[in-house]
Amino acid sequence: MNNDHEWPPVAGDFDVNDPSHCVAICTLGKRIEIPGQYSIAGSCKTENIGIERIIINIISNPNIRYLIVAGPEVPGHLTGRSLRALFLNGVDPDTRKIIGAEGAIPYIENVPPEGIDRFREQIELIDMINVLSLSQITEKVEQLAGQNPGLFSKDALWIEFKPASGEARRAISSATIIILPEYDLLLESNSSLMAKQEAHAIVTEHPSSIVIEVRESDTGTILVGKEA
Amino acid sequence: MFIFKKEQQTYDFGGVKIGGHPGQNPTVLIGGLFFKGQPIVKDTKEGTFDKSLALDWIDIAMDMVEKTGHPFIIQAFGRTPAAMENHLAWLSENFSGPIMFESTNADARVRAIEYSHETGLQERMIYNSINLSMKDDEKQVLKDSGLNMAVVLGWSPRATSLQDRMKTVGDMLETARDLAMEKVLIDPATMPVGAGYGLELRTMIAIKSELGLPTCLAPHNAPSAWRFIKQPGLDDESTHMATVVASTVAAQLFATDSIMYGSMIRTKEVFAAVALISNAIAAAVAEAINVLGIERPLFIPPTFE
Repeated sequence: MNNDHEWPPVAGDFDVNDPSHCVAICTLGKRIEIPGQYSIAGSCKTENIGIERIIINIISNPNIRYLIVAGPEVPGHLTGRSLRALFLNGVDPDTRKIIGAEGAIPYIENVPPEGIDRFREQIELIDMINVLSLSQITEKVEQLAGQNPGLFSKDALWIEFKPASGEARRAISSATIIILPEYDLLLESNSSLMAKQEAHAIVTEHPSSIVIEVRESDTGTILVGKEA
Repeated sequence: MFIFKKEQQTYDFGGVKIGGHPGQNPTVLIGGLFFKGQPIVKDTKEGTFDKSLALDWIDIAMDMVEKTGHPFIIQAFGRTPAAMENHLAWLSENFSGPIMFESTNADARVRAIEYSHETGLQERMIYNSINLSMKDDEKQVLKDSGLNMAVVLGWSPRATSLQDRMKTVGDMLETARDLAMEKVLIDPATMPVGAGYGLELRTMIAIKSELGLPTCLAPHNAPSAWRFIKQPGLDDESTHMATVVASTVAAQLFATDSIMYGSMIRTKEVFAAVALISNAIAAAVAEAINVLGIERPLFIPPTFE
């Protein structure tokens, strides 16, 4: 590890256990407390900035050689399947889209190509999408620890994480068609979802876009904070 | 082809499922029989008709059901109580699917309700329709009949905006519940061309997104009253057919769960057109639910490829 940097470089919804361990765990849509030894474990909700944060935290630690992707798949984002597609296929150099990803906005815009190549070389992705069983996950961690190939051949790669303003993504996610203005009914063109327009405000862009939505429910008005 | 956030109801109408999200269940086709002017009809007052030709039409429909997977309902007309009874008596012997009955004559409708009750046909009879002009005595007969499936017509001469039409739908739904109708098909009422035709498609979306109830529509009423195709040179069967098919698939794409396509003389062509668009809906919905991470069974129409 490079002493000039503090690991992990990007903050997020995760636990660091033993940075010298070879297994990192992504539990997708739900934070799951993992017993036993591992390097880093946490949730990842979005198929763009969420995945970028995982890449940056992994390539800056050459001890990590396995990434277990477990936990509940994130509806709409399909973050687990996008992560798997990234590992298998990489990113289109022109559009920055994860090749073969099925999620809504699977673009890796804040990690340079060498960072993505490095990620795909350094780790082996273990597909346990939708596996929630703690025993199955910990059993897999132990098995992988037993076959640790050792420190990755290259030094830690440190990338400064500067997420874009989010304008591009917002432009895509707001590509909606007004169907019934009387009922605030919109058609989201990227998913064919017919949904009510939800007033929202962006409260922060870092470490990821967090919005507060104003929703009307049968019991009154509720404010929902969520990752954009 | 849309994915609604609102949960969508599906009801079983005499063995035919109607409702759900677009692409979830096959669009149900409702063919009209015993219409005035149909070549099978001999006497509309007596209810006499060419039984052999009527059987041929039903055979064509059942063949198309088998080939395409789209279920079929017969919309039976009867101008008088006697005609209605004759039609229903024959249909109950020669067709095993659901029957939606309709008449401009209240006595004929009442006779149909009574006849269903007397013969135990209620399980597959759909009353068309609960609407603003329904009188109290007919309501009482319907309420006492044991019949529990009905079309709810969201039409009012004063309902000219979407919100007014939805208010009418709400009022008529309340009436339907008062009359013990457990399974309803909401019909936002097709209007004549130039006098509101198209607004029922907006209302259709509002019904699905606000109420999540099964829907039906008779879009063939727009072309059948359209003067454009009554002028010399256009007043022919192929031109009429094209407009009926167009109005039917437009309704199909706008999330209509069951569609009255008018005379059964056009069964084969309408089924083929709907089966084609059904393939487009299936592929589009399959991709959309995948993007959204939704797991939901879909109707997979035969591609014939």
